[in-house]
Amino acid sequence: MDTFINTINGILKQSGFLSLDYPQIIMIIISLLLMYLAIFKNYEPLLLLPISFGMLLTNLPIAGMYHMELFSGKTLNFAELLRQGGLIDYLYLGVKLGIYPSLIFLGIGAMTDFGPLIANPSSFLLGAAAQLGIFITFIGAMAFGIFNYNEAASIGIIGGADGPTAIYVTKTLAPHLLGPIAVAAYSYMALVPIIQPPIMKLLTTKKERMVVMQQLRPVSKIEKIVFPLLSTILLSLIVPSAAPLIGMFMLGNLMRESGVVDRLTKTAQNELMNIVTIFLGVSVGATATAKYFLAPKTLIIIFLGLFAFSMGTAGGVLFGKLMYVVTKGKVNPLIGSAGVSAVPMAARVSQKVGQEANPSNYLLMHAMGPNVAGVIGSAIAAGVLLSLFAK
Amino acid sequence: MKQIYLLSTMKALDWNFIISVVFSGMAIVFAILILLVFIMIITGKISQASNKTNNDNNFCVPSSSQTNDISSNNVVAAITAAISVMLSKEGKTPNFIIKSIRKTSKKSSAWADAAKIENTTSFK
Repeated sequence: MDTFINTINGILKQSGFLSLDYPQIIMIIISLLLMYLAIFKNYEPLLLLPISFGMLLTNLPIAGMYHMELFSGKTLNFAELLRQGGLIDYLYLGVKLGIYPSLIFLGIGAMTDFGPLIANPSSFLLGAAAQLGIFITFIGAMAFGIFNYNEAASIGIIGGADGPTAIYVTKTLAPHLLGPIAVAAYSYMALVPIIQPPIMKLLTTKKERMVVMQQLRPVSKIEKIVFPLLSTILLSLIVPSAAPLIGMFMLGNLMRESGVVDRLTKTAQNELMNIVTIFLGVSVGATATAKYFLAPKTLIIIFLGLFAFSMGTAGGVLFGKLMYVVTKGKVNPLIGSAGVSAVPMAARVSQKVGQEANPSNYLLMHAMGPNVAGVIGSAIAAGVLLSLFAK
Repeated sequence: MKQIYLLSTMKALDWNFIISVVFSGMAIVFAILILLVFIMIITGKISQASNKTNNDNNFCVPSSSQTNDISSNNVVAAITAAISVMLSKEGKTPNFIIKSIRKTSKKSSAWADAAKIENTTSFK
């Protein structure tokens, strides 16, 4: 009988129940809340579900699945990683080494049609203007006085409305903020249909919203093949730190447009992308440990993320208004808001708000131009921030 | 007390540097994308011009010396249309030029007939 009681006692002492503290309980509740939003409210479930589950796993005591301290230095200690690393530590290597975001970009490239952008190259300007959110938020974060340059740059990149880009910048500049920044970026991306319309309506008149744009010209196959090649060479030479993202993005697109590697294209679009999404989500979610997540900084990051999305939308719409004036009413300013990336959600929002003003208006293809330009724009902005702050 | 701390931290920040990051960042993003705009406009013009030239070539009717066995232009048009349908892929027809059309006097072999049937019968 004594042996039995001692065994039960030993198991209880070794279990996580006695080690569970209040911050960890709060984090587990937050992770369950995020899971609820993903499963029942359909908020970016493909990423929010693995992220929230990673958050749950990392906050279970004793299990030791993830150790933030192994990745906090400027160099990786592989001997230490092998000695005490848990499952998520090994998965996190893909984030730390910048592999997952680049592979996700490969899949996005394989799914992207640059046709609308090539047909109307001025869309690039709207994609550039919408990056205003990144840089204005950088100022906003610095103004709080509690973030350093690297942290402020990582918070600003939420305004790019591009999850892999935000993760790519943050894992380099401020890895301890990866959890809150990823959660903010993906949550707001799911909320784009709620965040953007009021700003779009506030900044435009009904007359502007009703503008019907000219039909886009057809784009030849040669143009679609030349575009990824030229962009890779040019962008990688000008902003080398953006080369991994841009390079993979354009490789995926070239595979799609060349039409000769259908099997590879389908793999990049589906299986590879899905596998990487699982690894990325779980390992990014695991960085949201109670020590780093339950801090006043997290609330400020969540607020600044919303600010970044709003500023990016406003930047795109205001530049759209400028183009409306310059082209004497040929450009509908609503397509500017799609410049914040968040493909294709932001373009759908432009279409929806446009149709509210003029039911016979179809802005979707016109908005896809700034939308994919926004992906390129945010990758360039990320490259600029990395070249300035990654030392 | 905390407010004083925040204000003192803010004063310590190099605002000139912060503003220069914002302006240079936006300027670089705009400059690169404007460069891409010009490149795509030029590429588009070249592509459109070459398409126009190819289309003009596509519709040129072979001269009489090339069509010694074919008397009617309608036959040339029919053969051109048939080749166009055969070569088209996913609704797009590649550019091609018909240089000559000649009647074959020699009777084709059974193997050649089989190949023709295989290549001209549509998939079901």
